Formats: sequence, structure tokens, C-alpha cells
Amino acid sequence: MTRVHLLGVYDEASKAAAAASAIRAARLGEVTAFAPAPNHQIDAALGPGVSPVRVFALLGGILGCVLGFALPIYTALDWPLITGGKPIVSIPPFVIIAFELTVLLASLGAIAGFMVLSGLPLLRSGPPYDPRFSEDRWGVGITCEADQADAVRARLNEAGAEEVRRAKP
Amino acid sequence: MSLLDPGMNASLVERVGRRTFLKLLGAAAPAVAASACSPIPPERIIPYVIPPEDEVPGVATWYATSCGECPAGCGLTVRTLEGRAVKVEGNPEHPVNQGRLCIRGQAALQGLYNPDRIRGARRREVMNAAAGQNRLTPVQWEDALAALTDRLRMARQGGRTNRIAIVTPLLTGSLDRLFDTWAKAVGARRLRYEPFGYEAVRTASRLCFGRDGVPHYDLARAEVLVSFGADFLETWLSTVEHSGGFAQARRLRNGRKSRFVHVEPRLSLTASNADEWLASQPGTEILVALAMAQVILAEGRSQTIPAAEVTTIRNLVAPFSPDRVADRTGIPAQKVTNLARLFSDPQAGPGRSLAIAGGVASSGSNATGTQVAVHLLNYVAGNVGTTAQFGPDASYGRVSTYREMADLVASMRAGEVDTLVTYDVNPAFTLPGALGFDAALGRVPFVASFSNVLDETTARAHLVLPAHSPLESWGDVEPRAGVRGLMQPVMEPLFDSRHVGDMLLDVGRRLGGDVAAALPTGDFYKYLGSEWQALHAQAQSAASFDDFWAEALGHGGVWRTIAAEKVALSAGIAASSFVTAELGGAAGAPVLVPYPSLHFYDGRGANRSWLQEIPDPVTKAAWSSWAEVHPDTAKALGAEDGQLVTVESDHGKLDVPLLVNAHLGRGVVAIPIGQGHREYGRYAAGRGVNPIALIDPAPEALSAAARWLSVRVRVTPRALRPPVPRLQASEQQFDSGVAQAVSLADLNAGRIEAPQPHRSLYADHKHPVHRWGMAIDLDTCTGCNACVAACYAENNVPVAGAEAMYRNRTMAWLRIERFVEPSAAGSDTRFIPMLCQHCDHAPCETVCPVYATYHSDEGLNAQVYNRCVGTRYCGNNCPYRVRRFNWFEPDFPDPLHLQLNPDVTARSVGVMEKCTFCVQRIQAGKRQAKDENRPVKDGDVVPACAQTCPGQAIVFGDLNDPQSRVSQLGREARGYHVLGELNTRPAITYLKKIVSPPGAGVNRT
Amino acid sequence: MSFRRINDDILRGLEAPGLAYFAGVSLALAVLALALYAFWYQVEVGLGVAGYQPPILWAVYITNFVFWVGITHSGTLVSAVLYLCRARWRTGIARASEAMTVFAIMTAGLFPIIHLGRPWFAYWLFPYPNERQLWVNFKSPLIWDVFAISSYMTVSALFLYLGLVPDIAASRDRIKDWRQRLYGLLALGWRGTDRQWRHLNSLYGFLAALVTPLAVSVHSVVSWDFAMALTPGWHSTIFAPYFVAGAIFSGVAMMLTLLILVRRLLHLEKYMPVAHFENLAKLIIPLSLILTYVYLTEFFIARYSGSPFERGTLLDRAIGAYAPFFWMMVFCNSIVPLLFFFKRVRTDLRALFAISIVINIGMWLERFVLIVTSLSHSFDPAEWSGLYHPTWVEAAITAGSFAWFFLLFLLFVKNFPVISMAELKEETTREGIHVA
Repeated sequence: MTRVHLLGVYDEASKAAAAASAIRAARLGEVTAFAPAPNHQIDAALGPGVSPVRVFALLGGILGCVLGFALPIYTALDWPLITGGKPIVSIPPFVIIAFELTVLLASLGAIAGFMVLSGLPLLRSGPPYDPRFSEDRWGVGITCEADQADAVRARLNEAGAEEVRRAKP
Repeated sequence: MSLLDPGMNASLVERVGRRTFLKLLGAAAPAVAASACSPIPPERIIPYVIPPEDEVPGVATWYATSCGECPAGCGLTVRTLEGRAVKVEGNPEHPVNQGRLCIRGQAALQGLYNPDRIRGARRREVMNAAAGQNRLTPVQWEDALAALTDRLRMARQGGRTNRIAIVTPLLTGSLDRLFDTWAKAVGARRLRYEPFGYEAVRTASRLCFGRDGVPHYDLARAEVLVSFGADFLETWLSTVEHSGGFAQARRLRNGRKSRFVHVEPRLSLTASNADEWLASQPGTEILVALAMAQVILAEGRSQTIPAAEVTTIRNLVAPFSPDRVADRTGIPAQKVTNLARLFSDPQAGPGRSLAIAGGVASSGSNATGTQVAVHLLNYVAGNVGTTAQFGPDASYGRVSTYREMADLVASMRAGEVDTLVTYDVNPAFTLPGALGFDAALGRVPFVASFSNVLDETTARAHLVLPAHSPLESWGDVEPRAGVRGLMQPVMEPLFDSRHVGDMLLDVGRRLGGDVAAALPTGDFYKYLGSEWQALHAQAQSAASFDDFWAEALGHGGVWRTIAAEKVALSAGIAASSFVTAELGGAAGAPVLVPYPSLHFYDGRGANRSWLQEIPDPVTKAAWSSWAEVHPDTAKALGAEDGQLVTVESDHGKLDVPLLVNAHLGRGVVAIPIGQGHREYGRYAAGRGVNPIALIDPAPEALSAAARWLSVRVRVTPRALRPPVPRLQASEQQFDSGVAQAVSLADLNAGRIEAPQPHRSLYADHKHPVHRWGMAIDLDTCTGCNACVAACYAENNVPVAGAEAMYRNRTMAWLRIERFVEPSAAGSDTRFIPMLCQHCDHAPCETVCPVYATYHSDEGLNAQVYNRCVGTRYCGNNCPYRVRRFNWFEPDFPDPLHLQLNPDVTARSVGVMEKCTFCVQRIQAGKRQAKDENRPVKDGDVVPACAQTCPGQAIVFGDLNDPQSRVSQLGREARGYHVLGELNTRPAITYLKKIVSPPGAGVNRT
Repeated sequence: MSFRRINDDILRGLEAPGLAYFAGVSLALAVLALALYAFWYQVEVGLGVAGYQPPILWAVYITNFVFWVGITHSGTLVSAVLYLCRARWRTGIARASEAMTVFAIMTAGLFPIIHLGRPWFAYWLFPYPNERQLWVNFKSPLIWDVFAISSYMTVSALFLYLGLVPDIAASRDRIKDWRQRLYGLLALGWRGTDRQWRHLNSLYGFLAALVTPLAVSVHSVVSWDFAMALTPGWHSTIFAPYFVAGAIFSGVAMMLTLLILVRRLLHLEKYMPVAHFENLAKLIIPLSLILTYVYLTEFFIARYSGSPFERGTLLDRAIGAYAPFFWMMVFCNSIVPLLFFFKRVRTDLRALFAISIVINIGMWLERFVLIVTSLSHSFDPAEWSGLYHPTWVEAAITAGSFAWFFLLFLLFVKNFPVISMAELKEETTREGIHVA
């Protein structure tokens, strides 16, 4: 069976949201909404879960903290030199290193998480995209079986699409 | 050292032969290696082709010789490595300096390696007859010596005599005799010229005791020392010897120490070290001496001398009771009376005090009078024969008087001199300008100079025959009767120079006839040997001459103690000389006090960059001249500190920046002698002013000495403010407590607060084997700068130069700080050597991001130059400010780089450096102990500063050893740590200076 | 206001610049060239060509370092904090100030290298084992600096960039010249799908939350460069808050300077209403008061500590050779900002602009006075130093740092949307005034 891409273009977020939820309700293929700005109606329509970015941030943070203590302690012991009469391993200064590395790696972790989750950088092309989506138009893209295409197109138009496009994957 | 210049090694090879030539090549290799960081292209490194068997690379050879920097004749031991001298130190066996050395002695190396040394014979060639242009151009030795011979022959035509004049410094020993013989043979007039000739002392001795000589003063035995302007810590007679003796008398022995009172208009370095400083009106010091004698006799405190003499002297000094002279001297009568009583303290017994005179007190029209007065003072106190001894007279007794020089100048002017031969003297600089030596020199058809630097006199010579520097020469010196020091060459001559003795002999032979006949055969070395054969005979030692000679060479000479001779007071002492100094110029105008400089002596030190760079101990100014005046005087003149003023006398004028100094008599203008050279090399030329230009050329009547104190001057402020590098802006220490003191009474009564116990959050770290530390006694530190120079020499410390020092940039690892506390005793000056404290809890270490500085397990604060990136954070965090940063690539102009110590890394631009406690010497000491497989014992390791300290104020050693001297000193009640409250735990313990208020009597409890 | 209109207005900024712009850029380049020559000269001849006068071993370069680190502060901080507080008015100013942060830290980071005695070994400051297996000394505040600064630089740069991604995509979709490929690359293929928006929002929240403590830590660490030293005038526990407050103070002032310029340059009056600037001015008032308080506290501590050295140093600072600089600083930082109590001043852009510059002069002086006077007058009176004179080299390099900063900023504002369009749209939707 062949799969097709359909794209509905809307001039209002609410219409796009309506289309998206209708199609989702009818279980007609995978829905991707395009928006020039984050929009709660669409989020609501597509039922967002909690973004797992936080997990990455946590892992990064833990790694950073461990590294932040391990590196100074290891290097101090690797070649013990007395400076200022202080102990070879003096924790207070190392706390600063640990803190900085914790924050750094937490941030990097979060960013890595974001990349992975939101499929960036985009390597394989998904449903069709329209430059106006970065301006003042909303889009609802559906990837579905060829025989479902008409049903989808109908629903997109119901929601008041300015236009509906069909494209081969 | 440009050994690869074809000209250079050609001449070398033919002169010294292959073996020594290779040895010299060897000398170049480590030199280049040592200065690897300075931009010397690697292709100049020369490996040993055939290693000479008597040289072990890296192992030093020490040669004993004598110092030629001044007539004091201290003994030296010179450390040579791979055939080049790298460090001079005092010869511990030598009776004069006993292992110590002054700043000028330390700088002797810079005379040897002076970049401006004349590198071969020169003859004046006419460049452009019309324009009268001519200049000194290189000439073959053969031609040069021939030229001199011809000249002498011409001068002697028709048996004329005295058409030739020979001027040398005060030479002693064999070379002196050779000069005499030679002068007699060629029929020449011979002068031994010293700018500071001590004629007045000799004359006074003649007048008082019928003996023409300069006595030997034993400061070590003087419980009470009164100095009338005698700067015995700077230049007076034998500086190192007197500093040593002074320190010895001063050192606290079961609650007692000597007392020193100094009478001088200016707070000189010597005055700064006095328990009491009496600021006198210049030239009136004589009255103080007479008044003291008057008191002693009036109060019948003179115990030793016959009644008859007592009356004679009492009559002589009767008119000079303290209250009568007080208004003229500017010193309260009571102080003088107290001083007199102290001086003749019956408890101490006779002969335990000493009065000396020199400098401003004894260089006026009354110079002889002052010395007579002082002789009498010593005589009545019974000091003649104990602390002032005739017998071991100083060689100064044989100096030609200033008048003889003046006469020479006169006859030069009169055209009576055909040929003038000079050797290591610079009358063009050191004679009063008004005497007209320059002009007179123009009237002399032919001038030959044996000097190896282009000083003002040599620069005008027609022929320059550069002699070896003292460190390259054979010879001997006799600083005082009974002491005969040997000089031996410590390395191959650096340049194409010759021994002055050999030149004399050579020229003499060329003259032939009676001259040749009158001269000894062979070269000077042979002549020296023959002289010493005579000594050997005298000594009547069982040893063969060869053993005797070897022995003497090894020890640096031979010496025997000469007993003090009894002298009787001569009858005809006239009171006529008991007057104050006459001063030319408008009455009431400021008096000019020119004084010899600790660093430059009579100016001969000015071409040593160390002496220029190290700040003057009193003014802390460097690389320049200045005129010191009292704030009130400055106000009266309408001038302020740093402002340029024109100083003008009837005899000359000069422009010099003003330096306002509260520790100076009012109405006095003090200018140091030694700067203001027109010639004399890159470091000296065109720097500062020469106050000798201002003084009255007429000699003193009785002693025929130069009258340094002779004029009043007009001082007119100018609009300019020339920069003068001054390293220490503030002479107050406020309440920083850096240099501390305790009164003798408190100390003896145990009223001295214990140092704060150290606390720390952390456990102390371990010093398993050694913990190196230092103890510095502020009571015996005189601030003489010798240690600073020693540190420069030992540790390859680069010279920053005047420009850098305007920005306060100096590289000195060790500096002397000077603080003046308000005090009833005229001044309480404190000198404190400041160097890396090698703290146990060093603030500098923690902050270095790259571990370039850390704490070694022997307690050293180590600096790793090649790891340093130059954040300078350590410098900011050092409370003692002893870290030095290399702002530029250090520069050691050829051949000064040959002096670099190969055991010490030469640093490069952009890195921090500082005192290492002479870690290279620590390593050497440990190695030696290991070779002799024994533990390191106290005294095995002596850093350069401690080694040379004339006052022996610095003691170094292992703090882990409770018996070591440094540990014992560290436990003394006087011990404290600078900025101890910071808890940096320094390895250096300072011992508080001991002050005693005036009128405290002899320091006794 | 319509979404298209937003894109039109903001992206107009990316169109071909005018003569004034090019003049500015070339001026910056010229000054930068001079600075590069000066630095080359310094490396060639030695650090001595700068005016250092021992014991003053840190001077203009470190002053510049602290000054620029200060500037970095408010940028990200304000942007992040306001984001976390959901302050609407942030939108107009956030991006420009984030950019300012990144460029300021790119400037600040140069000075620790410029001031080294051997800058060619600067990489020794980074933690890697050298040929002898020797690492860096983590106990040294300078190493803390290395970590703090580089972390902060990384995070705030990414914070700026990720916020930019949707707008870069918008630029990609509109700009048709050579830059389109660049935008395409930088946009990472952003298409504004629901998934992307969801994760981006979550991430942005996290970064804002993380970069805030980081910013605070950076200037605290910088302050410890001084506070950890024994030097009187430095060795004080108040330094961390003192420096952070000062940093935000100077940073906000610099924001004012830049944003007022941007507003004029790119005709963004509609998006940057005066009210926003007034808010910044209001923010400055308490900060100025905090600084005044700290100045007083320093003297109190010196007095109260009983340490003669602290007293001496602070007294010297107020009446010594450097007193003119000190009082100038007080005037700029404590007196002038009080004008913001008057609404007329707060709302007059010309006044705001002038005062913001005065404040930054004051803040530069603050660092200079703090560093130089303390070093010139520490424990040992024998080593006190007189007035220090910078040389042309230091002047050139300092000017160069400003040129470098402004060059980067100029390039940014003409090539990237200087206000977040996505956020504007979000705002307008929330306000529900959207009409197609």
C-alpha cells in the first residue's frame, strides 16, 4: 500500500487546531501541525505530554557534578604539590569547579535532549512544508494510506483550509 | 665574547698557543649555554675539541687574590668555571676583610667584564688636520710600545730630567717598587695620586707624635666610638675591616654592646647606624672634639698620661669648653659634656673608646686641626696604642699630597712636561675643575695611559696601552704594615691587554743604556718572585721558597701581626690650627658638602651597572645625582623636592635635581661624588653631575690636602623637574611594624612581647630532611648594600636600567629597606634586608594557576621559570612584594654575559623570579656532604648575601637542626616575623634592632 | 497587529544597510587594526611596553576584563530572569541583550590572555596534562575563572542561538540573497512543528533556569580573583555580591546604550516602547543604591577591622594620589543615577542614553580604582607606588576591545532578527488581537 502526504493551510490557529483534532479523532494517519509561534490550542488538539528534556538535563547535571569533583581530586593526587600550606586535596575550591561543570553539562544535556526529541537537525524530509508557516499561516500535515486521502482532505476542508495540497512521499 | 671573530682568535692563538686557546674556547661554551635564553644564535656554541685535563666542566676552581677596587686591599677568593671568573668573595683568611666584601668589591667582576673596556692598544690618529679632528685608532702593540719609547727618548734628550711625569694610584708592593725604579731610571717625576689621600691624618700624626703615618684603628675594641664625619661604613680608609669591627663591638654580649656617636651635618649611611647622631655645623666638628678633651681634662678623667702633658693639653683646649662652642657647633653643651664623660668612662677603663675623624670634618681649611684635636682626644682617653695604633700603619701614609698634584698641573701648564704617563688614575675627573687640569693637559705634547677603560683622562691620551684588569694580573698589595696580599690572574686575559709591569720593563729595555741596566731582568712575574724571595728571607721560615710561595698563593698572601708602637706626645703642638673651616662664597649662603659615594668611591665605580642600579642606601635614588637639602633650606630657596636647581660657586656651576631630606643640617647642600662623567663608558657617561667642579682648588695649608669642604654656593631653582629613579618613596613605616626595635633596657629587663603563636585550619606539612631558614639581625645590618650586589652577581639578576627604574621596575631579588623613626637621638634609622621569606603558608603559591610556584619539602618556595606564564598574580599576593617580573628580555652586553653563573638559570621575558635562598649553593652543599658521605652540617650552605655581609647580620641554615646557629638565633627574644599577623609563617626571622636613648651611658645594665 | 506585519518590520532590519552602518563598521575595523598592532608590538618587545609600575602588576587590562565581564551580566540575566518571571515587556529587549552578553564575554575573554607575560602559553591555563603530566592548579582563582567564563560563554551563546532558531527559519523562508543558505544551515531544518515548539519551550525554560545561577557565579568567581588575595582593599567577603550588583548595574546601562541605538537604527519604535526603557531605568536605581551602600561598607569594614593596612589602603583610595578617580567614580555610580527618580528623566531617551554612558564610565573607573589603588598601597610602605601612567599600547588595546565588541554587535543586528518574532506572535495571540 502506498502512503501519501496531505497538507492543509490555515489562516488561523484555531482552524488548524480543529482540523488536527478531527483527523486525530478519526485515526487517519499521523498528524503534524505547523505554526509560526507556539500555540496552546494546537498543543491542546495534539494532546502534549510533559517534554522529557528535563531528564537529559538531570543526567547532564549529575555527570557534571561528578566530573567536577573527580578531575581536580585526580589531578591533585596525580602530582601532589604543596601550595600555600593547604592540603593536597582541599575540597572548598573544588566545589566551584563542580558547580560550574554541573551547570554546563546540565545545559548541554538539555540541549542534546531537545535536538534528539525534536528531530533536529532535520536529516530526512517529512510532510511538505510551506514557507508561510514561519510567517502568518498554520498548517496541518497528514501522512496516511493512499485510500484514506479523500477522507482526510474532506476533514481538512471542513476545518476551513485555504488550500489543501497532496504530495508523494 | 666574540671568540669567533677572525681577528680575535688569530691574535689569541698566536699569543697563548693552542692548549690555552682551546681552554678559552671552552670558557665560551658554558657562557653561551648559560645565556641560552638571551638571543644568541646557537651556531656560536663551541664544544670542547680536546678537553683540557685540568678543567672539570661544572666544577668550580677558586683562586685567592687581592681586590683592586680601592686601596683597602681586601683579600679575594674568585670562583672560576670553565676558565672564567663568575663570582668574587672575601678571603676568609685575610686579616683585613676576613671573608667579607663591600658592594664595590662584589662589583669587581664588572670591571673585568666591562663592555666598554679597551680591547687593544690605541693611538691617536689625525682624521682631519684642518678641523683638528682626531681619534684613537687600533694599533699593533709593537708600534704602540715603540711610540712610547720614542717619546720618552725625546723627552730625555740631553740628559733632561723631570720632563716626564708618571701618575699612578696608591700602589703598594712590587708594582709600586717597579714604578719607582722605572721612574728613577728614566728620570721621571712619580706621583701616587689618590683623590682621598688622608694627608691631614698624617700631618696631625707628625705634629702630635712626630710620626708621619695613618694609624690603624681597631673599631672592634672600642666600647665607645665617636666619629667626626668619618664615613667608615662607606669609604673611610678600610670599609670592610671597619664595618666588621664595628659590628663585632656592637654585637650584644651578656647585656652589653658598644655605643656609637656620629658628628656630621648629614645623616650619612654611617650616621644612620649611630646610636646618637649630632648634626653639626659643617667644619665645626673640631670644636666638639676639643670641647670633649676639655671636659675630660677639666674633670680629671684622663687616667693614663703624665701630669705635665695633662697641663699642656689642658691649656691648649681650655678656650673650648662645651658651652663656649655650643653656638658655633649647633650642638647643645650638655650633649657634648655627656659624650665626653661617656668617652672617658672610668668604669670601662682607659683605652676602651675611640675617636676618628674624616669626611666633612677633616676636609676643610682646618682638616689638620681636626685630626690633631682627635689625636689629642684619643691620647687623653688613653686610646693611642690600643684602639688607635701606630705600627701597623695604613699604606695611605705614602700617598702623594694634593699639592704635589697641583704642582704637577702647574708645571704641565707651564709646558715643563713633555710626556705624561698615567695608570688607573683619572685626574681629569677627580681634580677640582678650577685647578685647570683639562687645559694643562692640552699643553702636554704627549700623554700615554695604561688604563683599560676610556675615562676622561685616557680619552685625551695620545697613546693607550690597556693593562690587564687586577683579576688578570700578577701582583701584590700591602694595605697596611704586616699584611702582604698576593694577586694572581684568575683567568686568561679577556682582551688584547698587557701587564703594566711587563710594559714598563719592555719600554725600559727598548730605551736601553742606563735605563735598561737599572731595571730588573725577566718579566714582571719574575720580578714579583724576586721580591717575595726577600720576604721569604725575612720570614726565616723553614720551608723552601717554592713551598712558601705556594703556601702564600693558596692563602692569598702572608701576614704577621705588628705590635702597636709606643708614641710620645711632641712638645710643640700649637693651638693655631684649632679653628673652624673657612668657606668661600657669600656669608650665610648654603654650604656645599660633597661626599664620596658608597657605590662609586671617587667615581671609579660609575661604569659598573650594578653600582648604578642598586639604589643609594640613604636616598634610595639610582642612576643619577641629586643635591640633598633640609626642608627649611628648600623653602628658603623656594624650591621643592625633585626640582632642578643650579648650584654655583666661585669656581664652577652645575644643574642638579633637589632631594629634600629632613635628616640634614640646615644651610647645607650635600652632593655625592662619583657621577657626572663625560666619558667612562655607557653606564657612566652623561649621567648626573660632578660636585668636584665646584670646590676651591687651593690646598689646605698644613697638610696640603684637597679642601672638599671649601665653598658656600648660590642655589637658584629652575623650572625643570628631571626624573630621578627613587625606589622607596616613603621613609616612614607608619604602623606596619616591618622594621622593629627594642630598647636595650627593655631587652635586658625582659620587657619584650612574645610573638603571636601561629594558628591554622590545616595540619602543618612536613619537612622530612631539611628546612632551610634565615635569621637577620637588624642591629648589625648597616644597610651597606653589599648583599644586594652579591645577589646580583650570584644569581644572574639582570640590570633594568634607568628608564625602567622610573617606573619602579627593578629585578633585585634582595633589597634594603630604610625606615626612619622619630627619635630623641637625632634619628633612629632602621635598615632591613627584604627578600623572599620562603613562607610555609606562601600566599603566592596558592594563586598560581599553573603550579609555577610551589613549596618544596625543604621549605623552599620554588619558582619554576619555564612553567610560568606570567599572570603576576603571585606578585600581587606577596605581602612582602619581593617577586620580580621580567618586563623585557634581560640584556647582558658582551662580555658581561661571561659573568653569568652557569648554576643559575638565566630568565627570559615574561616570567616571574625571586630569591631562591641560593638553591644552587644548597644543592652544592648537599652534594659535597654526600661525596664525603656525612650529613650536611651547619655552615655547609651559605647564600651569597650571608657570605659577604660585612656586619655578619645574615645567618642561614637548617631549622630542623635545633643546634644550628639559625635555629638558636630564631629562638632569641628579639626574633620576629615581618607581617607575622598574616600568618604566612616566613622562614626568615628578623632580630629587632636594639636602640638606646641618648645619655643612656655606655650600653650596660 | 498582523503576523505578516511583524515579519515585515523585523526582517526589514536584515535588508541592505545604509552608509552610516558601513561607516560604523569600517571605523570599528580601523581601531581594531591599531589594537592588533599594539598587541603584536607588546608580544614582540615584552609586556614592559605597557605602563605597569611595580607593585602595580595588574592594571588596565584586568580592569577591562572585569568591566567586560560585568557587561555580560545583565544581558542573559535580565533576559532569563524576566523570562522566568513571565515579564511580557522582555520580548522587545531580550534578544539584543543576549547578543550583547555573548559579544561582551567574547571581548572579556581576550584580556586574561592579553595581560599574560607569555601569552603564547595561554593554553597552559586549560586543564590538560602537559608533557610532564602536570595539570593546572585547581586551587587558583584564575582556574575558577577559566571554568566559570568558558561555561558561561558556552551556555549563554547556546541560549541566544536556540532562541534564534525559529526566527532564523523565518529569515530562511524570506531572505533570498546569499545568506539564505547560511540561514538554512543555522535553522537546522526548523519547521515549527508542534513537537519542535513543545521541546523548545521546555528547553528554553531550563536554560533560563540554569544560566541565571551561572551568571551569578561567574561574577562571584571574578570577584574572588581579588577577594581571595591578601591585598588590603581586596581581601573582603562582600566582594561577590558587590561585583554581581555592579555587573548588573553596568550591564543594564550598556543595554540602554545599545538598545536606544538599535531602536533608532532599525526603526523599532513600535516594538521597543519607551516604557521598556523606563523599566530598565527603574532597575538601575536600586542597583546604584546597592553600590553606594557597598562603597560605604568598605570604609566601615576598614575602619572596624582595626587593621592598619585596610585603613591605610582605603584612606589612600579616598584622599591619595588616585582620589580624583575615586570621587569621579562615586559621582558617576552613586549620584548621577539618582536622576532616575524623576519620571521626566526616565522617559527621556536622550537623557537615558547620556546617563547610561556616564554609568559605564563610572563602572570602568570603579574597577580601575579597586585594582590599582589596592596594589599601589599594600602592606610594606617601602613598596608603595605613586601614580601609574598607562601607555599608548594599553590605550590602543582598550579602544580595540570596544571596537571588537561593537563590530560584532553591528554585524549581528544587520544579519539576525533583533527581536524574537515568534515571541511577538505568541504575545499577540495571547492578547487575542490577531487578525489575518
